Amino acid sequence: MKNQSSFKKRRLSVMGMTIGPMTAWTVLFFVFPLAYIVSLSFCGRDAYGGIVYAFTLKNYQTLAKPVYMQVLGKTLRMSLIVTCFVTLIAYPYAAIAARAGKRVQNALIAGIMVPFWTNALLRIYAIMNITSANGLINTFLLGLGLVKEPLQILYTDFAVMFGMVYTMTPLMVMPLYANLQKIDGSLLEAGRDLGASPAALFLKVIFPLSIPGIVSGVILVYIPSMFSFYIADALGGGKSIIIGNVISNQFSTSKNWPFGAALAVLVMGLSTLLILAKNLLTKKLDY
Amino acid sequence: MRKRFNPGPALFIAAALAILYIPIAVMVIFSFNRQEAGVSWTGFTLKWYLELLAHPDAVRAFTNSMVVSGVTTGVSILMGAFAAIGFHRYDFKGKALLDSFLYVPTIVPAMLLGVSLFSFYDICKIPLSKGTIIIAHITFCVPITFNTILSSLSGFDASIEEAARDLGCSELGTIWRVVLPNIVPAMVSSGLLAFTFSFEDVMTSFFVAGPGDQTLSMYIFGQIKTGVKPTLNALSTLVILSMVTLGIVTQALQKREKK
Amino acid sequence: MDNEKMIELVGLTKTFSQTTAVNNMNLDVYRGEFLTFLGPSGCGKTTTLRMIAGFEEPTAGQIILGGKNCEALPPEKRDVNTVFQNYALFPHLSIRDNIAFGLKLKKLPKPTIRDKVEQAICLVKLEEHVAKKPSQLSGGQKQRVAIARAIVNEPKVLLLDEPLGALDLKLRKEMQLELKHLQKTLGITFIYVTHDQEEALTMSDRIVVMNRGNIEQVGVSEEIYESPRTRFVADFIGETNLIAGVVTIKGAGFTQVESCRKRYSIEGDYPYRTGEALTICVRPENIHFTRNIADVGNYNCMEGIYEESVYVGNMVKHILRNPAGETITINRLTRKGEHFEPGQAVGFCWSPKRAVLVDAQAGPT
Repeated sequence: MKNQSSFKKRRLSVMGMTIGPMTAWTVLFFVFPLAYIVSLSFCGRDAYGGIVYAFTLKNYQTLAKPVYMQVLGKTLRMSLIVTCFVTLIAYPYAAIAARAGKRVQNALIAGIMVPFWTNALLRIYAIMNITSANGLINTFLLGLGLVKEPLQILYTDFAVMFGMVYTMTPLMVMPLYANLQKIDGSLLEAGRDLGASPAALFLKVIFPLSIPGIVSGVILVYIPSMFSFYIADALGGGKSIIIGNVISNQFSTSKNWPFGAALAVLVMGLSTLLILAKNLLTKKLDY
Repeated sequence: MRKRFNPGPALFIAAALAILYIPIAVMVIFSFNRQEAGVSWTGFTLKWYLELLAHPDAVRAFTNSMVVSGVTTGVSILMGAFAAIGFHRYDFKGKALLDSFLYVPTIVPAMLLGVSLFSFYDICKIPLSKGTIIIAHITFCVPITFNTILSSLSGFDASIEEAARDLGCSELGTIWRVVLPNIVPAMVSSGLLAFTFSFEDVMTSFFVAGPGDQTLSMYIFGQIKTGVKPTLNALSTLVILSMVTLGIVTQALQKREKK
Repeated sequence: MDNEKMIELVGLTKTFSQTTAVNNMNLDVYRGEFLTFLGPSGCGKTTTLRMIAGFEEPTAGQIILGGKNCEALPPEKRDVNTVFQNYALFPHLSIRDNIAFGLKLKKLPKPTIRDKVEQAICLVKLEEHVAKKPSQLSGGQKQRVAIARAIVNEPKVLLLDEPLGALDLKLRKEMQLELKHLQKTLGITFIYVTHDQEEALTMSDRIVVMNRGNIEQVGVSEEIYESPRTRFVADFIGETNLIAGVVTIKGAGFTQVESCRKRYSIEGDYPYRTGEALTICVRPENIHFTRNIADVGNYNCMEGIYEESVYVGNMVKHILRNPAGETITINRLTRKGEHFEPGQAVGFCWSPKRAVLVDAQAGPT
């Protein structure tokens, strides 16, 4: 029918007008750049930092050098430690919040979210403030006579990890809180009714049910911490280098884009694997 | 059975919140301290704030940030709202796939987006400017506005649109007169969210900003690396104050919308 | 109601991928009538309404509205308005603005709009609520707004899609009468969709009973109830007893049917041929008990095994099983005080005038 097709054509044009711009934008400024950086990782580099468009695996071979593998290893280790500590803090926090009264619940969540609304950089700066040689902690320790000289806290791996834990804990609290809050109170009562002690209740009921929340939280913390080069820069003072710094340097000071691209692809691949693993696990645990 | 009060949880929460807030509080307090370094209180002053305002770099970075985040927010709201309306109204093959595709920019680490756009601009011979930052910010902000507006539309009864058609509205007229007015709260709250993300971004901007186009976050990043300074305390206090206000407004709007 | 046709549906068909929602429907709707589409969910009644409104495109066939084919017209260009089941009020507009919505789009002069809106508001008795938002109103009030919003445009036809479905029973009964009254006052043609037979019987001038996309019967309430033309209609409208039989004699003004090795005479001319299988249907209120099944004049009699009785207030439902194993329900007024024991053989009978013959199978499938 003639007018039916004109009906359809108008529909299509309105559809294109609405969905089109965002889709086009995402393809142009997200897919293309990502595709380009992947292909860049297979390109060479000339003596002046220019890109040589010829297929090579050299960048990936360089990647395998011990010096980079060490940085990668260190990054993965640090991110793991950070994630563990974040979990150790966020889990009890979220659990307490989820079981509290409605008012306390809102207050606790606001309490952790308000700092999150402030710039992460500023929170990093705040940590620099109290950990510096004449900052609050050292003044306190010196005043009590616990130490003779100011402790070197700032510009250490410890400071970097502390900064990451500090800035990323809210990222873990939110999914965990959402997850723990959904656990039906009557389940816990049923557990008690069937004779479970509080500890057994936690191990046998609460913890298994909260695994999806933990997994989402882990992803939200682990991946960004591999990349947060600005935390390593600010709190590590150039002494603590994570993979994020190396990538950043390749694109700024060292001017070896293809190698930087290869590093980026590697970390991106690792992140994707993590996300896929998470999706698989969550699907399996879909109660 | 009487429950014994267990102080454990309360203590834990108190400690966690203390560690969270003490550094910020110290920073805010010492932005008003007369002495330049150290932790002894030597008297109240606003001189660091005045010094900050006299600092051309800081002021320019602030202006840049307002421009970048302002434009980003505007474009993200429009583009996100359009796409959300289209998604809500029409069914087509591959809709679910497109939905998850449009979501990907938010889960890719900001830094990766930064370096890939940086090299992409280079091959396309696009000189770095405020515009290139805006493009980068829009890329990760549109999914935020899109998803927020779409979820607010999902609670919107389709027969309301049919009612508008029935009463004489054209297809576009329906969007304008009925759909848009109903998603204004979602547009505003998602816009505030987009503004916050854009304003705070440093990992993407770091790579795609032109020489004179430092945003405030980038300026702060540069300053932090040189150590603790009272003017930086003052700047941080101002930023924290405005971001927290913005955050509270957003939350309040979202809560009102849920009602 | 006069004989001017407001809507003609000609061979109207709608197919959704595999299923046929509406199958080759032909129907005329006259000016000023209250027409109801009645049927179970999924029978195609709402799809028909949505095609008339313009929300669905017919797969085949035509809709002629006021003499003009409106196939190419989008909903906003059609001179019909809809009252939606869930009200579909604009949440961002006040009650007044909701009602004025259509008139404003027609770009009528402001004073005219104001007057018409005032009139509509008075008609549905919402004077106190004009400044409120829809979320501040009760279900019944929202329904009134939805009706006012539609009728203020003075459409040729008002389409109502189960408009009372979301209301509680008491409010529903009130609104039924109010709607009927409103329709008489305004003289607008109403096309009403419902699955509630009582609602249809109460309100309609004519009822269109639909099943699986087909029209089973069109008629006034009494016709539909007293003389159902198909087994589906008999079964769907009210309670009924269905007894299978075979035509033995086709006489003038009566048909003789054999069932359970006995012969029964049913008054009326039916198109069934001798030897054809069919169904006798008798309403539960038209059956009486009898002590002597041999001596009841020209009444049709049968014997059944008594199973149980159910007390429902003003009457008692007696449940029996006839020799063919069919369930027979007999409604008797409570005060008659008839009492039987389960397992007891009980005779019952009905007048040849009080039964109708329909097809053996439920509707075409």
